[in-house]
Amino acid sequence: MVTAASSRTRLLDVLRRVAEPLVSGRQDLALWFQDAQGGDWIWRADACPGGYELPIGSDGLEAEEGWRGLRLSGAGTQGTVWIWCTDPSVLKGLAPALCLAGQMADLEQDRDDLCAELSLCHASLASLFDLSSDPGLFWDAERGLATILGVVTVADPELQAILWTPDGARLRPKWWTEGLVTGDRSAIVGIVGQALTRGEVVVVNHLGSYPRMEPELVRATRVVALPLVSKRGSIGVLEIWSEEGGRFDSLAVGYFRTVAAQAAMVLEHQRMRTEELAAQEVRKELELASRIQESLLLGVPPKGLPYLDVGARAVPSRQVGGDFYDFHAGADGTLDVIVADVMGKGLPAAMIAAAAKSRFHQDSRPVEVVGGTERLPVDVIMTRVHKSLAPKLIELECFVTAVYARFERDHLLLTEGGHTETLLLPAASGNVVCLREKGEGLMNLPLGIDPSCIYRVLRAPLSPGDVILLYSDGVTEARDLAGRMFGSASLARHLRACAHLSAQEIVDHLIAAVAAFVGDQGPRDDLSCVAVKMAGGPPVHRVELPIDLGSVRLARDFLHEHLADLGPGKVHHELDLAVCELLSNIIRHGFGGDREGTIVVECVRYPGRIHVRICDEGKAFDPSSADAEEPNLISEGGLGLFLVCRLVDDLLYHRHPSGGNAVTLIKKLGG
Amino acid sequence: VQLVVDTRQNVTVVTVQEPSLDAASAPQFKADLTAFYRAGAQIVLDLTPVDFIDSAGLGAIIACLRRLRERDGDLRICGVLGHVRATFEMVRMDRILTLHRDVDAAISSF
Repeated sequence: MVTAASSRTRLLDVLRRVAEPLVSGRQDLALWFQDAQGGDWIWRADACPGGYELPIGSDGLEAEEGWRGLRLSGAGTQGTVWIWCTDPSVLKGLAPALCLAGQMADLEQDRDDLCAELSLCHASLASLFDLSSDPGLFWDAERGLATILGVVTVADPELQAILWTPDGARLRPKWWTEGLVTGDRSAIVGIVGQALTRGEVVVVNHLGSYPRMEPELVRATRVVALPLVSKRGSIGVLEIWSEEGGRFDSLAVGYFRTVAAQAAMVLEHQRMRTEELAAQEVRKELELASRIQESLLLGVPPKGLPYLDVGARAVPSRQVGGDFYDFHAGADGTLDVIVADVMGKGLPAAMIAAAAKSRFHQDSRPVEVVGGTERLPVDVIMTRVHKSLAPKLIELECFVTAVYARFERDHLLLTEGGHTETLLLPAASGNVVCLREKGEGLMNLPLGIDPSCIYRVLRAPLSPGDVILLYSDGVTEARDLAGRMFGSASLARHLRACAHLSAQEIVDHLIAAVAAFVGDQGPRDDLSCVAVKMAGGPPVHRVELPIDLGSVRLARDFLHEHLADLGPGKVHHELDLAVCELLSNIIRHGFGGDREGTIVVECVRYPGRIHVRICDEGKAFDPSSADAEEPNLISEGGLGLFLVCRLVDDLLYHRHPSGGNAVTLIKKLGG
Repeated sequence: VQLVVDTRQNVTVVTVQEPSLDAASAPQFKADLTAFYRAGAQIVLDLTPVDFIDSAGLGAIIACLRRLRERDGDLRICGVLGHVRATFEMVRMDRILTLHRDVDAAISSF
């Protein structure tokens, strides 16, 4: 910033420099500079008259005897040089040189101003460099802001500054020049408020009569307020003012803009850093909760049971939920399965789930009876757990839906409280049925709603190969991107398609089907699934084929072998053609040029229907999503999948999470 | 794929001596048919010995029909029986060609 005082000193300096060689050693000459601020000698001869009395007060340029005036004028130079000389010719020679000196002073001033700007730019660059070379300055906002904003006052110590950041409807000082005392204030008033709300730079160079709302501006002569802008809008205001004269020109404002932008960067980095740290905390908590859920809430399905096979899987949602399941195998080969869901999410739900699970565990233990031990009936267990949990649950305004199933050799005992319907897939019919208790006044309320609720038992006969599915509502209520629910009909359809798989494969298949349905967003609620499959279902015939079109014949031969008793009728032909189409489609399109690996074809005969499953490790492709419209016959393509859809009664695709496709065809007999 | 070729009244009668026109045999069948792509060729394809056809086999026939018609020739089909007929009907092949009872009917349709 250039002040009048400094520009005067410079002018005198230059005048002296220019005059010195011209008047050096002369006794008949004196030079006196005078302007509004007073006067100063440039050169004084000993012979100067009047005991150095000055000629001030004269109006004309030709004043006291011997003194002649020479007016200097230019951008920064103003004033008069008085010359005392006895020889007028000397005067003539001096005048142009002194006028030039005035112009030189202007030029030197310009040069110095440019240098000052350059050094400001340099300081600004240096602070940027500090930021980039010391990333800590980004994270440590206080240090970062001090580095950047400190440059303002280094450039001109007369300047004072405050960086304001909005906090709701208030503005809080985030950084300020040393020695200032300030508190927070409303975010909408004054020059600062104007800059923040409009997002524009406000410059007032003559605060003279301007209403000063800001206490710090009481003695200020000029002020500039610069909004700090990020993608989120205005995130602060940099207020810079001076109590000295002068003005904030466009160069100064441009420079402050850069400083404000840098300060905005630091604030944004600090915000992102804070958010990232908070997100890390949340993730840590979720991980912990999900580990708790896995180790505390999810029982391990027992292996090697004599007449049944169990599989289970739970997929935690983005938030940990209150799903749990548990298994208790009896010494007599029976198996108790509990699947339950606590209302709510997060750690509270998980803790209630843990308490409920341990309560079930206690009550399902064998009790001493005359002549040995035995387990309590399932309805008694359920009622006891309910009675012990209900008061606490009611107090916590929470409830638990649960299903308790006991699998014996040829039947199932089931009691249920407000849980999703248990599904039974009989090997014989292939028609999925819902197992639900029926009876007068039976409400099947969740645990913790009505303390007087009594739970009853349902008995369902089981046959070899039957599959029973217990699951949480997260499975059927999973939604896709368009908001559609997966639904129980879809679940039943997928369950039917994987009837011949092992219990663990069944739950894996179903969870994968739901995951594919909801897409990348992931499930909103926990998905948990328990499948129990009775031993002794129909045998699974299996053939492994090379990835070659010749395999189409091998697959057809394999089917002929296992369907020979059907004769060469329509069903046989249609299944033959469908398998032929799917297989050749996989071989042609699933592997590119790569012929490594095998394709597995499985065939299972159920009463009244045939399942054929084709598994391959090729590219993901869902044939059931193919266009079912009649192909135009102008091109040769599109016929195969159209045929498949017409030939089979159901077609289900599933992509295993570890890669690999499985397509199941279901063909009814005599249909 | 064995093709038996006979010429009657300027019409080439091709009998497909192959029980299965499926993905395994269709590529060869399609290649063999190119031998008959002459300008103005009139072809009868007798499918009597065929008892299985899939989309690859149908594709070969559609390709043959298209190539012949491009050359001002034509293709007639006969001997479409049993499951093969069911498959033809399922994709409605009658939209692009007529199925004839036997070779004589096919020849006289030109």
